[in-house]
Amino acid sequence: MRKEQVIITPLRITKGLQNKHFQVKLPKTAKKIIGIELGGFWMGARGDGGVIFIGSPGGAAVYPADSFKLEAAMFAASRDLKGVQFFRRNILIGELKLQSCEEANIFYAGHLQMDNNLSQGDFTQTPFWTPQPFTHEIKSFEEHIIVDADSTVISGLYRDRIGEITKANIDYLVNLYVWIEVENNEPKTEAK
Amino acid sequence: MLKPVKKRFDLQVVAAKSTVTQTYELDKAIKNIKGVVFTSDKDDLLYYRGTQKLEINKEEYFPENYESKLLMSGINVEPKKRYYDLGNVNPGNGIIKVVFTDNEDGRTAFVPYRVSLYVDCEMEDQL
Repeated sequence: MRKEQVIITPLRITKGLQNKHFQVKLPKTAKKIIGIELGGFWMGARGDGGVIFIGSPGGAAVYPADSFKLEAAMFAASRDLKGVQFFRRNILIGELKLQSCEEANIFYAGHLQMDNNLSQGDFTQTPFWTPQPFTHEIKSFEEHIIVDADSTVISGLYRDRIGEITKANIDYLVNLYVWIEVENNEPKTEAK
Repeated sequence: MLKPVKKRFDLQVVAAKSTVTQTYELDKAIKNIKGVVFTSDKDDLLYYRGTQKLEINKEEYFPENYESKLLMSGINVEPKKRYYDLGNVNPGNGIIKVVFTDNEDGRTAFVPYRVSLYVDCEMEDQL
């Protein structure tokens, strides 16, 4: 019987433009890699790490200092257009590449970013409230890939990009989720 | 005949960076578990700070440190599609174990919050 399993690899980033090389060990029972997902946490204490905080009704949102200036300018511009909101540039946090040791070339290249356009076209927003990721986010799905898991490890490189944009050392944790399919030959035991 | 039922189980997070372990038991008449979804009375805290491990019938479905935001659905998702699809899981002994951990995150200030696990099940119709 085959079943899905996920391996979580935390990557702590503390410096701007930091490159982090890492390996993800696959269990021997793994048959193929079926998906990749990314997530993370800001680790800096409130107000630290070159970030500034903007209060919002749903809680405090955090934006890197430079992007705040950019956002403020765009917000002012959008008000001039009577509520028409421009697309805003999403904040790129970092880039990730993965390679299987048994295969040539990378099999996954993705990026971690903050969605700045959730409120685009959403008429529920007001000057005092905009949709937030925790209210309006669609369901999260892993990115489907199919790579056989003959290799016991996969190598990865994560490169910080938010430090390049903000010129600051921002402390955060990236979680890499590698979904695999494993062979489970153990007979299913009856629950006690 | 099986009929769909939704079950809700709550846990309280009262301290920052703490881990709360709770075990819940499903009714014996439940024959299938089709999906799960996490919500909270303070969605932003669960979204930004939460991670959890989820076991059903002693089998791990989401490992420790799996972020709660990956098991949440916003109001933009159609109500019928808000559950994370687990397929048809045999509930076995009907025990669901949640190990929830609150993590520091720069975007939020901690206040006590409730975490709710909703389970989409199929129950044997006893009528």
